[in-house]
Amino acid sequence: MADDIDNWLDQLAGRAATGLEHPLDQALVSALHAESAPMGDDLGLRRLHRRLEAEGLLNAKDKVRRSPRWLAVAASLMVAVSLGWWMLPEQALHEFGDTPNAASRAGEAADSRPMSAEDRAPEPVIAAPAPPPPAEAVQRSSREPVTAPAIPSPSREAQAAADAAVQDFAEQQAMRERRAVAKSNAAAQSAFAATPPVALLPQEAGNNLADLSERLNALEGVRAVAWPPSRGDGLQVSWADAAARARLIAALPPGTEPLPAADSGQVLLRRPGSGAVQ
Amino acid sequence: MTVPEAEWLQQIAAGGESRREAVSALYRHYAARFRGYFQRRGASPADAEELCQDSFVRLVRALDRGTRVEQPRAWIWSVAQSQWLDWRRGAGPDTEDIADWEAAQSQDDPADRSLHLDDCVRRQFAAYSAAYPVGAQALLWASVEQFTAPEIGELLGRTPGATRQFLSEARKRVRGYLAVCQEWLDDSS
Repeated sequence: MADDIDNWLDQLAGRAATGLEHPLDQALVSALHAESAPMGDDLGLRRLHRRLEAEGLLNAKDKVRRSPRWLAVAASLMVAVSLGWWMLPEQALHEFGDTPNAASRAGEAADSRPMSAEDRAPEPVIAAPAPPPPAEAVQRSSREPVTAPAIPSPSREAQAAADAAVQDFAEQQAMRERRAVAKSNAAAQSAFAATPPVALLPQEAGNNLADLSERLNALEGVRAVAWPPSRGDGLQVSWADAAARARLIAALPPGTEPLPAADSGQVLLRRPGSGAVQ
Repeated sequence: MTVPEAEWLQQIAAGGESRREAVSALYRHYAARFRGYFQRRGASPADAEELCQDSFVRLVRALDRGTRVEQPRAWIWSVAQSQWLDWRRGAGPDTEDIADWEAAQSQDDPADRSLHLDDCVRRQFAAYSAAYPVGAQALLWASVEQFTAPEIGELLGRTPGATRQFLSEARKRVRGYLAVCQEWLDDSS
């Protein structure tokens, strides 16, 4: 039966080698084709055109859709950056959080506010003012693979990025140390430069620097303070002008070493044998 | 064998000015068939017209989204069928159930000698279509679209074996309708 109906279908479609034998079947095929004959339906076609045009489909696809490719690239970059950013500070925090020095240095970098996860989250990796790790932490990190206990198995790229970040932290640490040394030297030089010349009081002038300070402070244009403040075994005396200098010289015990010749200046008055001036 | 439908669909998918021309060619070729298909499935002429328009819009939209078409003609008809199924879900049940086929009575008067053989066959086929629209559509697909039994089965949602059985029944019934036209043949001989 299957062959019979398939053959009949072939005859209806004109695929068979032999045509339809029955005249009624031939007439049926004519009727079928007549019913399906294309019709001049210009009104319906114009209506279809208008509708397609209204829906933006009549001439669509002229513009090449490039946005999906760009979107894919942008999305990939965002994922990569987000992954690295999310993992790196976490590792750094674990290492810094173990040492009190790290916390204090982080406080310096962020207005004495301890770094928290909340602070860390919105900052990008490159711009993050992350505190430098302690030396032992940096050395350990450079030798050992970085692990993030809270994050399961970072990718190779993330691991490499983490190593690079740790190395960056080490460089920042070295730079900070160099800056600290330079700052300390500068401060020392500044303090040394500010130290006024010393003038020794005579041995017989007595030991009561407090009385001398009171007398000098009573002079117009002269100011005397104990120096250094921790020990108080000397006086730092300053004068405002030549007249004040003259009043100061007159008030000092006889035999005091000469003061600097400047009209205004300062001097350290020390008793003999009270120690070197720093 | 390349069919014009394949080229039309490619032009529609490509977009631009050629889309308008391809849509026009496709519409001229298929609009009447779609309307007949929808009417045979029970739609009124007005609904059939709307369904025909919706089918072409649906077709263009699918190609615009990048739908890949392997068998152009079968795919075109599957679009119309999908449009019909969507419309039927909102409009009501189909008017025909294959299991409820009934013997149809010819409305033609064989004694009307003014009718030509072709007129008789056309009117008898119209009567058959009214009673068995699915069978009539299957015969149209077989003859006009040159679909094979498995291809028709895909559109009808039947297996190839069930489709052959269905087509065999359809042939038997349509021949019953056309039997009244035999007299014109006898007269001519």
